[in-house]
Order: sequence, then structure tokens, then C-alpha cells
Amino acid sequence: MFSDTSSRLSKVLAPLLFLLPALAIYLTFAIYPTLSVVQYSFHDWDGISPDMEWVGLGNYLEMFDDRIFWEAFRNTFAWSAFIIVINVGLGLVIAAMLSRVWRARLILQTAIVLPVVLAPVTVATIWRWMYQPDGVINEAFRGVGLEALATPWLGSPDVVLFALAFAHSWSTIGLSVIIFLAGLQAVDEDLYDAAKVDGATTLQAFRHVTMPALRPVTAVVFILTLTASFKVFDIIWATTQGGPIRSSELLSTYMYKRGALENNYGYGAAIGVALLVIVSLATIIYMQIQEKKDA
Amino acid sequence: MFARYLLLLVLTVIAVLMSAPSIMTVFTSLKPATELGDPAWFPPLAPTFEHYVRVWTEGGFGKYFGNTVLISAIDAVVMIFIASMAAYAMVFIDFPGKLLLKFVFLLGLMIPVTAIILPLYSTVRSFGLINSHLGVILADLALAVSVFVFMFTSYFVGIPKALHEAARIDGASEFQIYRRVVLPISAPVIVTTGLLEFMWSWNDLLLRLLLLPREDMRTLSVGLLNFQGTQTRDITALSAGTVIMAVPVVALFLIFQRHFVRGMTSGAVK
Amino acid sequence: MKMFNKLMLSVALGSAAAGAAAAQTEVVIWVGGEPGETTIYETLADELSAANPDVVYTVVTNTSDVFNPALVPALSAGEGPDLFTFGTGPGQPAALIDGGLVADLTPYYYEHGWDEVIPEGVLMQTSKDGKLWALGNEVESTGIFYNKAIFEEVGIAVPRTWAEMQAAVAALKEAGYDTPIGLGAADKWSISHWQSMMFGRYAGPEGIENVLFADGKWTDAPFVAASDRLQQMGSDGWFGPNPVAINYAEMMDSFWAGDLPMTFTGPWVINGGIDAAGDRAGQYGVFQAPPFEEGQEIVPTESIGNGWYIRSNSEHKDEAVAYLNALFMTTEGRTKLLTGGMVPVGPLGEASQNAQIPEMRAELNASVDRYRDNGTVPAFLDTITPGRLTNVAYDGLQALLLDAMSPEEFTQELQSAWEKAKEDGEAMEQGGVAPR
Repeated sequence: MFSDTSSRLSKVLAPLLFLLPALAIYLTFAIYPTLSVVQYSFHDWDGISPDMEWVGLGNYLEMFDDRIFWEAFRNTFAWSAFIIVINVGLGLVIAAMLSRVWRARLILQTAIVLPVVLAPVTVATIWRWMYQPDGVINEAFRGVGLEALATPWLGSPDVVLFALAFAHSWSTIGLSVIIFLAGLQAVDEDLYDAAKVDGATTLQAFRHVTMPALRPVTAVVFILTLTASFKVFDIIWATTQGGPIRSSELLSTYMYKRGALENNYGYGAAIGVALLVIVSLATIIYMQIQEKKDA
Repeated sequence: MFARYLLLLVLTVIAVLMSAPSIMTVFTSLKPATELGDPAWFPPLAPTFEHYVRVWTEGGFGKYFGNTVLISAIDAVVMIFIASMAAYAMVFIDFPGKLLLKFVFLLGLMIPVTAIILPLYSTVRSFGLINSHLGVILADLALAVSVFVFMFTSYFVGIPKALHEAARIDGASEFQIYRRVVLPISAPVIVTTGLLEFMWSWNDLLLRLLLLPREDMRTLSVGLLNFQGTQTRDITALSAGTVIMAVPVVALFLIFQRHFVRGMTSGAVK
Repeated sequence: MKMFNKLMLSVALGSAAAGAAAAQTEVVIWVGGEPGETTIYETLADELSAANPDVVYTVVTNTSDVFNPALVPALSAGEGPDLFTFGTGPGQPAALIDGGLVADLTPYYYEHGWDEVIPEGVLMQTSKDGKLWALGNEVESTGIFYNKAIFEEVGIAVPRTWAEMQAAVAALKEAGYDTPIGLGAADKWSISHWQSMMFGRYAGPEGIENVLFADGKWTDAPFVAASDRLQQMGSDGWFGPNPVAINYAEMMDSFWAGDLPMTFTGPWVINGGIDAAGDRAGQYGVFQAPPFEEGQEIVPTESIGNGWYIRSNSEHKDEAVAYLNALFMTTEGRTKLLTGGMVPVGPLGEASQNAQIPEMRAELNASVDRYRDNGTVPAFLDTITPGRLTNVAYDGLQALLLDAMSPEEFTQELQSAWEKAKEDGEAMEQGGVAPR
């Protein structure tokens, strides 16, 4: 029906038309500002005055020698590792348990997923309050005779990062549970039953049948959790602002302090670019490993 | 049998722990000043709605509600279309540079919004869209589209190619296939996208503070700050505001729960 | 106070002249402040708008500067509010000035008699390069707020010497008050108020100025001694077992609930406190901490809270100035500010007779006035030192309280950040407005 040229034209045009709306908005309001930040990172600039001074790699070299940058770097990794373990690991376990329950399933599922709807600032307020030295959590420990576990959660440099990571996981794990539940429903029941007939225990069947079948879903959860956790800012800023001392300082909060609060916008931009590169590398490495496994 | 009950018990404990903070927030929002000293897990003895009234009137929530609904609803609907169309092209149409484009879209997952607020402001401004709903909507879409292209792509991959081929042979255009074949079987991921984007847009604070500085343009998330200064905070009003903000999203979740759970990435599992 | 009447007249005339213009102009005002604190600005805007049919004053309140990410980008883009409040000192405020984003207020300073109102100490913090850039909004002094009922119950009086202070703290602990002095040290700035006060006490006004504007060092003996004493108080449990785990708002809630005997803070808490404490509000009083060492003098702390700036390319500068005049230069405006719990800069005169000043505020003022002859020291060092030093100080103060750092290490970190900031030209210069 189509002439040769017009079909060739539609071949070029069709993908363009489909991609255009998303791409136009995305390139203009996400990629362009990001490229500007990359450009700022090569300048000495206070973020306000009209003059910027080109310093080449100066900000990046300074970053390399910056003790606090590396502290924030380590914290960010520990933070993300903790959240990935909880959201991916525990998320899968909870989803698996939910998928074997029929009675009261909807109410249990709703209760577990509920925190997902709360705004980050609200999550911060709630957990600051729960973590107080004589707050709900410590009172509960004392109430059941576990006094030794009562800790000034947000005031202790050793536990604060994990306490906040836990709060963050509380508010995000619902998303992982939902994604895993969806995946679990699609796992072939026959495969699972076959394993059971062969005498595998529930755990063995889960390990050898369910988990491999869920690998693509796990990848989605992993990547979404990884990228989201590296960028976290709100909950830290609204609870400890990186303290006590610097024990909950993440790259995102450090970037804000140096860039906006200390008027060293160029340096803050360099930290932002470093953050972007680090998450991208982590994601690419993960995808490579996955692809190798799939092959 | 025993295992079943153990499972139910463990899940119940988890569910209680997960929902306890939210329940305590509801308790606090209903407590009169005289009961604030009680432990947080104490239910209010003489519940009062005064904090809700205060938040709705003095706190401006009545004014901000409409703005928030408008922005979030448009965000959600537009996101469904632009993300699904882009993902359709990525999965079903062959074109050069696809791999590069995949990485460009993936990059959007990594951008820390805090890092780009300055250039984002000037970009939105150069379109004259500061203090306009459209400016925030475009920024919201741009910064979240990657996630949803990613989700739609992983769903579409699971749709048998044969379905697409058959429609082509019947002479359908790409747009017809997208609209008549692919979208109708994508309800789960469409619902997921709509809900998540609505929720993220509903809760976002930074972009609203940045791009909607006029008081009459504010959204609920900004309104919540009326009760939280740097040095003081009003815990009952904050709790009531939190509950008001959460209710519509929770309602949407409950309504769409069924699709939501089935959807997400069922396509990702082949 | 003839001057104020004259000013009122000029305000009235100014608005009459503006009335001639036909089109209605909108003056956009952004103010920052704690929830409830900013009501007075809205009231005034409504009054002025009603009085001038051609000008509409629109106030947008933000509960905190940090939560207003739009301000700097808006100003950089040449738009944003005509009039706004912002911090003063080095860092962002200095960058706004250097970037040419805010208007030079020197002409108004002379034209509207501001020179007769603004004291030199305030001018220091709001001027740069011989020009005035901001109108300081209020004078903030800090003091120890205490619960008289608890003091009575435990049988202690306001301590006048360090020994009495120690005895009072001991008695409070004995009576079961684990936290004799509330400190919400999770908010780093609140420890910095102690640091500012104690640095001032140990070094005196000259000692502080010597570091800020000359070649004094933060490693000088008085600062080490002050840091040491602060750390000692912390490890002796004066601030309770875990001050760093509690933030300022949580601590103040306990204070107004009647659970804490003392806390060291400023006037911004008074209005909220009166609401929170209800009919127990009369229980609270304020005193200045006794000398920390023998032979030391009590030096009150005093800083300005915020500054009012006018955008440099605003087309409504005169209207913005009229707003400021109505607020700060008329007896009515000043009375309203005082009644609202704020102390406008400059001599109070008539305004203080007309105003109903909250009692806590009156006690705070009295405690400051008693020692004013000893000079004053900055209440908030963190607002007048460069951001780089402030962040190092903030982290270091928490480290002091957690015993993770010695006083010597702390002061050395301050000094090295200070030297770097000075090298980069980030330090505040001594202010003052050039005579006309």
C-alpha cells in the first residue's frame, strides 16, 4: 500500500514520533541542566556572581585530597549496601511469604506497603520522634526487658547511619515487595510443583526454582533501589544534617554543604558529578554481571 | 498446618511493625493538647479534629489541595503516554542508535535533583514557566521519565513479538498497533505508572519550593512546612497535615491495588 | 522622639504622592521566620495596601531560609521578591552583594533618618565597602531560660557564681532531673550559641574582634579554655546523657512541658513558649550565665537576627522602603514589633512604653541591660564567620560533646579553616557606612 520511499520515511519517522515527547522534555529539563552542572564543575564559582573562573580539573583534584569527601563516600556505600540488602533481600522474603498466604492477604499487604505513600519529610519527622532517647523504640525495648538494646539512636556515631538507613528502608521496601509479588505471580507454578514432587523442601524449591526465575525482576528492584539510595538527601537533611559530627554525611549532603552553604558551587558541582559517575558505574557493573549470568 | 500459622504470625508481626508509626501519627493528630504528654502508642482518649480544621484553614491546606491535585493528575496521565510511547519505540521498532538512547534514558535514574536546582531553575525560567503549573509538571516528567521508560520497556519485552508482527502484516501502522494492541494488554504497568508518578508528584517538595514561589501556587507538601520551622515545630498540626496528605494516595492505592500488584514487571519474567 | 513623628509624616506624604499614579503596583515581599513569627509582616502589608489603593503588598512567608531554595536562583535571574529577609554576614549574603543582586541602601539610610536609629554594632554586620546593604530586623540576645517552679521545688536560686551554678546543677540532678540544662545538640547551630557566648566570656569583646578583624587566633588560650569548659560541662552530664541525640525543637517541647529546668536560647522561642506553656507561662524566667571563671565578667550577647534586603533591579524600591519605614521607623510599627516579641534595632523610647512586652522578653532585656556596660559579644558567631568555618565548628562542637575531639584539636581545626577562608577572601570585613 505504501510506496517504497514513504515506507522508508515512516521507518525513520515512526520511532522519532514515538520518542519525541518523552525525549524533548527529558533532554530539556533533565539532561541539559545536568550538562550545565558538569560545566560548572570545571569552574570556581560561588553560584551567584556573574563571573566564573575556569579551573579545569581543579575541583576534582581538590576532591581527591578531601578527607571529608572520602568519609562521605564510604558512608554512602555503607548506606546503599544496607538498603540494598534490606530492600532486595528482605523485600523478596516478605513478598514470598505474602504470596503463600490467602487469608488476610490484602490487609497484610496493605499494612506492609502503606509507608510508601508518605512524603520523605514526613518519614524523617516520624523517625526522629521514634528514635529519641526516651522515644517509642527505646521504651519498647525497656518494656520487654531488653534495656541493653536501648540506644540514643541518632546521637550515636556508630549506629546513626544504619538507624537512618533502616528508616529509609521502612519507607521504601513496600515498592520492592510489590515488584517481587508481581514477579512471583508470573513464576511458573508447574516448575515449582515439579520440584516439590522431586522431594525438594520449600526452601530448596525457593532457592533453585523461584530465585533463578525471578532474576530479571530482581534486577529491576536492584537498580531502582541502588539509584534511589545513592541520591537520598531529604531524610538525612531533615534528621541529622549529616551528624553527629559527620557520621551520617552522605555525598548528597556534603555536596549541598560545600556547594550551597559554603558558596563553593563549582566544588559542589564536582561532587554532584562524582556522585552521578559512581552510581552509573555501580549500575553498569551490576548489569554486566547480570548479563554474564544470563548468558 | 503449623507452618501456615507460623507464616501468618510472622507476617502479622511485620505488618504491625510497618504500620505502627503511621498509626501513632494518626493518634497524635487526634490528641488534644492535654494528652500530648501521654506515650505515643496511647490512643487519644478524647479525640478532637481541631488540628485538622486548623491545618485546613490557617495552614492553607484548603487552598493548596487543588493545586496539588491538578499537578499530580496531569503528571500521572501525561507520564503514562510519553513513557509508554518511548518504551514502545525502544522495544518494537528498529532504529539506529538504540543502545545509546537506552543509556541516555538510564542516566536519568542517576541524576541527583539537589545537584541541578540552579540550572533547572534557569531552564524553566527561560521558557517563562516559573510560577506556573506547567513548569513544575515538565520538570517532574523530565526527572522521572527514565524510571517509567525502564518499567514499560521491561514489561513490553514480555509481550510476544509475534503479536506485533501479526498486526503489521494486517497493515496496521505503528501507532495503531500501539493503541489497539499493546496498550490494551498493558493495564497493569499503566496503573503502576499512574499511581507512582501521582504519588511522587504529590509528595515532592524541592521542585515546588523552587519553581512555585508564589503563595497561591503552593502545594500540600510545601504547606506542611508551615508547621515546621528550623527552630520550632507543631507536632499535632504536622501529624494532621501528614494524614490529610496521605489519605488520597492511600485511597488510590486501595482502589488500584489489584492491578498494581499484578502489573509492575510481570513482563520482566518470561 | 520627634524624629519618628517626622518620619511618619514623610511616610504618609510618600504614599499620598504614590496615590497619583493610576496603575496598581505589586510589591512582593518574602520573609523567613518561625511559624507564627511572621504574622506581623502580613498584618502590616494588609494595612499598607488598604492605606494605598494603588500599591498591593504581597507577603510570602517561608518558615526557613534553608527551605527556600528559590531565593538565590530567582535573584540571580534578576527576578524574585522586591523586598526580602536573609542572613547577614559573609557567605551567601556577601555573595549577593558582590554579585550586584541587592540594592545599595545608603541613600535611604541618610534620606529617611535611618542613621539616627541603627546603632553602630548593627551597622557593622549589615554594611560592606562603606555602604549599607540591609536593614537589620531585630536585636537578639541569648540567655539561660529557666523554670522557676522547678527551681523553687528543688530549693535553688538563680546562680550568681560558678560555684553556685555547680551546686544548682548538682541539686537538680539529685532531685531527679537528668538533664539540668536542655541542649538540642542534634541541631549543630544550637551548640554554637553556647560556643559564641563562652568564647565571648573568655576572650571579651576585644578578644573576639581581635580574631575577626585583626590577627588574633582561634587557638589563643581563652578559646581553648572555653572549649575545655564546654566539653567538661558536657561530660559531667549538665546537658543530660545524650544531648546529641535530641534536636532543638524536641528539647524546647520538653522545656515548655515543664520537664527541663534550664536551656540556653534566644527570644525567638518566647511567643511559641507562651502558647505552649499556657497558664504556666509565668513560670519561666531568664538570667545570664554566671562567670565561668573567677574574675571573669558577664558580657551579654547581641546579634541581629536577619537583614531586610531590596532587590537591585526592583522597580518598586520606594514602596519597599515605605514598608520598612512603617515597620521600623514609626512608633506604631516599633510598638507592634515589641508587642510581637521582637526588639527592633535602635533606641526604643516611646515604643517600649506603649508596647505590651511579654514578661520573659522583659526579663531577658533586663538581664542584658544590667551588664551592657561590659560591652557585648556576638550571639551567633556562626552567622558572621564564613560557611567553611561554620561547618567545621558545627562538626567540631558535636565532637567535643561526644568526647571525640580535644579542645586543642577543636580550636586548631577552627583556626586552619579560618586561615583558608581569609586567604580566599571569604572573611567578613569590618563594616561601617561612609559618611555622606
